[in-house]
Amino acid sequence: MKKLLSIAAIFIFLNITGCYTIVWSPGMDFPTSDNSGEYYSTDTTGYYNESDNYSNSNNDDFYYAPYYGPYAPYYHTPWWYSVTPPTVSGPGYDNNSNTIVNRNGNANTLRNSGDGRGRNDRNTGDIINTPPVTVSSLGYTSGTTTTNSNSNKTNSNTTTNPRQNTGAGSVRNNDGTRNDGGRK
Amino acid sequence: MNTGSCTKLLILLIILTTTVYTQTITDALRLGYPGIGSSARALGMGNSYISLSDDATAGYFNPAGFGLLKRMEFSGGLNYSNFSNDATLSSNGTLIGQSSNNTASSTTLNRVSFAFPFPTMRGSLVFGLSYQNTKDFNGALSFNGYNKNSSFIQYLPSDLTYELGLNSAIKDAQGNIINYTPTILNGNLNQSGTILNSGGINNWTLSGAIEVYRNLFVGLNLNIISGTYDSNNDYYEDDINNIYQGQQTDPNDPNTLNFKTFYLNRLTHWDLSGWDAKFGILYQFNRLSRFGLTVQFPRTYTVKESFTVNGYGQFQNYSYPLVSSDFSDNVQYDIITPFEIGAGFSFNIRGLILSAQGTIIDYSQLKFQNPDGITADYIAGLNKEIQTDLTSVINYNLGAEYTIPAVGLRVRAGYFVQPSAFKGDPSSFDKKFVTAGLGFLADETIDLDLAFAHGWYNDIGDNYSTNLSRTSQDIKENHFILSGTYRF
Repeated sequence: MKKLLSIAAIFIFLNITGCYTIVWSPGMDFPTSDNSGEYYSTDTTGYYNESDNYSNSNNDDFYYAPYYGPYAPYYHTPWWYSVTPPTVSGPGYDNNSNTIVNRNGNANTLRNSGDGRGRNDRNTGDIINTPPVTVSSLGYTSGTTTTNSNSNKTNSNTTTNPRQNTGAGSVRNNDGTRNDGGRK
Repeated sequence: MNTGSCTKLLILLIILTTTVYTQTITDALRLGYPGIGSSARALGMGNSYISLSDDATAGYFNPAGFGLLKRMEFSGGLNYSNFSNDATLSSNGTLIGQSSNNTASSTTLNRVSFAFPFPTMRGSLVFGLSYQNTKDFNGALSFNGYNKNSSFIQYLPSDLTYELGLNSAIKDAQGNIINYTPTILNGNLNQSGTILNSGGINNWTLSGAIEVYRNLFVGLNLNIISGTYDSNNDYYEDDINNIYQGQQTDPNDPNTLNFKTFYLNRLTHWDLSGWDAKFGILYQFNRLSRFGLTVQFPRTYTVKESFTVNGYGQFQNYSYPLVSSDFSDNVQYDIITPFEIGAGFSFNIRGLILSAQGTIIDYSQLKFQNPDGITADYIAGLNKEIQTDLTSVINYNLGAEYTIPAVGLRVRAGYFVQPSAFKGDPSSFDKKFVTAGLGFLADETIDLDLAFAHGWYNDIGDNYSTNLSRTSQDIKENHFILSGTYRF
């Protein structure tokens, strides 16, 4: 029970003090090597605001590229830097793709527009629009246009023992001090 | 002394000799000693990894290290272990046999890990899941020697030796056994045997780490433990010099004439389950160094033990086999290991990482609990014995790694010591390991690591009682770990 309480206390501690980390959520700009630096802006010295091709805070990089070569990006490049950020289309957004944005809140693909058969509510909702999939050495980028949908020793002579004793006993370890042949 | 007193003394002696002893300190230490882990990179650096832990093996060394991961990681590895034991038999400090060697080896899939860093605008939040082999129980022992001074038979329960024809019974008028006489077999027998141990401990580890302040990471993991342990112990005593020829070990049974061999086989099987948690902190001082601190909470192991005994007493014209069910049983108990507090520091200079760490373990806090099938008195006595005989130690680890950036190659070396848990043991009983390793990175994505560790130490074991039939063991261990890591 004490152990459980200790672990619970640590969890609570983590939750209280874990506010330094800002986890990306869909309502935020997707973190990239270009925009992550702004979250370090409280550093007035600029020490942490440098940016290069594998990290935007490389002064902290334990595996500094000149001495660690390919291990620098291996350890320090976030996987999400190689992902083209997903963009969210909704009212007021135009992503220059083959979609029509309805400022009244309804979005329709070209295929379904204007034929008089579709119902407006069949194509309502946000459109998540990501670019085509490509594979790079560091990961992948995504990209299909997606409309919102809802979906040796032997015994001998005898095999019985006339001397059988029914009393239980034990022959495990008859002394208890480093016995049983070994301490391993 | 009158006849009544003699009878009481005899009964007392019989009670003492048939006392049910079950577990030993050895059993607790088997679970209490640390293993060698499952990371090739870490082992190559002498497992001095508390302050590094920047891969998916962080759950074993320092869960805070997960916070250093920026890319998803899938990794796994294989382990090959070889155990060699040169043992000599002695009695009261006098050598009574030649050195015997026995070996054991095993190959296991020692780890599969996955780590997922959440995209963050600042800081770090990483979760990991791992299945890993944290300890193997590989062991082997052979011994052979002529013991003039004593026999195991003297120290076995009298009802067991009676089944083997090695002593006689005292019966009442109705023929019911009311007592047993001591055996006449009290030495001058050749003692030989082998012990083979196998099994290991596996953990399902769920870990999480977060950067709570710039470059300060905290992490926590939860381990679900499973495992097995098997021991096969063969023990022989032979009258190779015909000392007991012409004698009956049971005066009332002519079939016990001319004793030849006593054989006992003990099979122990453990099914292990349990859980534990580990808390870690890691702080990085710019790019120069890192400091790590871990608190391993006590592990709770539930041991379901199956104990099977077989044997026989061999005479010139007759053999008495042991009825296994009379002395075999199943019991259950918990073993609680102590807190382990570790701290490590690593220093990074121009591609060279130097790392050192120490871990405090107070083995006197090992504890048996919740016995089922074992008396509470015995468990209490055993826990008292643990407090008396065991002590606290500081394990220490040293490691170095140098990266050759032009080719993506890393070379490693390390050394670590796990001191003996027994009070007063000389330093030769400390487990000492030298390690070496290589790592190669391909395409900034796939990392292959190989590690080798060679360990050596001494140990002793008593076949029965204390120092009457003692094996002095010179043990060597070799471990190879091959790991592959894919980061994407």
